[in-house]
Amino acid sequence: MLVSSSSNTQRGASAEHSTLFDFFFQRTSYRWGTYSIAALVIFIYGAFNEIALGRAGTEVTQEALTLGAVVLVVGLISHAVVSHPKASSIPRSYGISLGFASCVVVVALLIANTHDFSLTAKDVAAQDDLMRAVYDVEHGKVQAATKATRKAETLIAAAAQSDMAVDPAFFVDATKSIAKLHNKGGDLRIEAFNLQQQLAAYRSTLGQVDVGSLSNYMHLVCSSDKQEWFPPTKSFIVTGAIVEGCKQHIDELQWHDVIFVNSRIIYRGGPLRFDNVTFVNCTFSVERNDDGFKLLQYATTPDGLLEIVSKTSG
Amino acid sequence: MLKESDLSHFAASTWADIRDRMIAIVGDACLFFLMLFVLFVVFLALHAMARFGYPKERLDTFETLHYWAYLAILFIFLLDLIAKTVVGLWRGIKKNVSQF
Repeated sequence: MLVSSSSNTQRGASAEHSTLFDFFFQRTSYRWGTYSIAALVIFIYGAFNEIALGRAGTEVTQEALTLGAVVLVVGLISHAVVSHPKASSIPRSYGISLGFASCVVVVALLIANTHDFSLTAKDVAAQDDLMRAVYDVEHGKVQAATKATRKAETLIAAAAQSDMAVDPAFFVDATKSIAKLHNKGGDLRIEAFNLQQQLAAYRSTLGQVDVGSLSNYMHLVCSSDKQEWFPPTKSFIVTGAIVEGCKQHIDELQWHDVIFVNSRIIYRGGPLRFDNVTFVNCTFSVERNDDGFKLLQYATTPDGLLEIVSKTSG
Repeated sequence: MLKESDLSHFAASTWADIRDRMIAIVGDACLFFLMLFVLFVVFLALHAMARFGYPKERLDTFETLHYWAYLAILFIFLLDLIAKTVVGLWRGIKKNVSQF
């Protein structure tokens, strides 16, 4: 009898208040349980994406907050279900199955999102960080800009490793942004240089060449990546050649209509002339000065001609 | 002219009306403020570590963790506050309508 009268009183109270009112003003432990889970989801999702996957913070923030909001809504719905007068007649196994299915769906969504990111969104994320770096520089936040530049470097290295295809306009925009950061000087200049080097290597991994179709080109092949092709004279003009698999010093020479393939490009800061030179799957070891930076810019966005007249210091 | 007994009756009835909502809002806000304050102390600690020469790369990671913790707490706090305001107002409106 006693149990029955107390349950009647509870029903009377819940009839007076709506489910939403109960959740936000009465059921403190249930509310805080939901809040804790939502906060944990936002924290783990955001920190994992930014630290482990190197994604841009702004993009992840949007997703993490959406996920947190979804968890809160699920908490509200489950509260409505549990506090329903007929809730006790629902078998316990149904609730457990439903909870398990929800967890599977959330994990599947997270995995799908991560997978999608690794295939398509890195360039956008890197560009996002670069834009932020440029914005920070323009507003005098050099430290923040350096941090954003480092993040962009990680993203581009990862994109290069996975040979991810990207719109050529990305390289043009990124090169412009990096030039602004490079001009700022200090630590940012070093980071910008590293980033441009990374970007040049990335661009070259996306290049393709059909050696068979270039029958009029001289084919200079090195037998190992420690071997180098030596020109017969200083200031020699190399014309119409494919240089493949070499550790190639490029300064003190003129290169016209040349394709470097699978090579390590070494530039020590001397005079140089490039005319219609492209790089396919190359890495760059370049003197850290203005001329070296110009060379990296050319390798990233080849626009016909590059002329470095004399050795300069950076 | 209102009598003193009218005023005290008014205050008592108003308090009785808003008591539940006040306790919930103030109680939750206190907990959230406590968490945000702890995070602010962590923020000061990170600054102190930077000044004492703690490796910058590691501090960057700590700062990222701090940012996400702060964002999670602040987001839920603000969402809770807005939801409480809306639900509280809605209940008041419903109550007034039913009285007429």
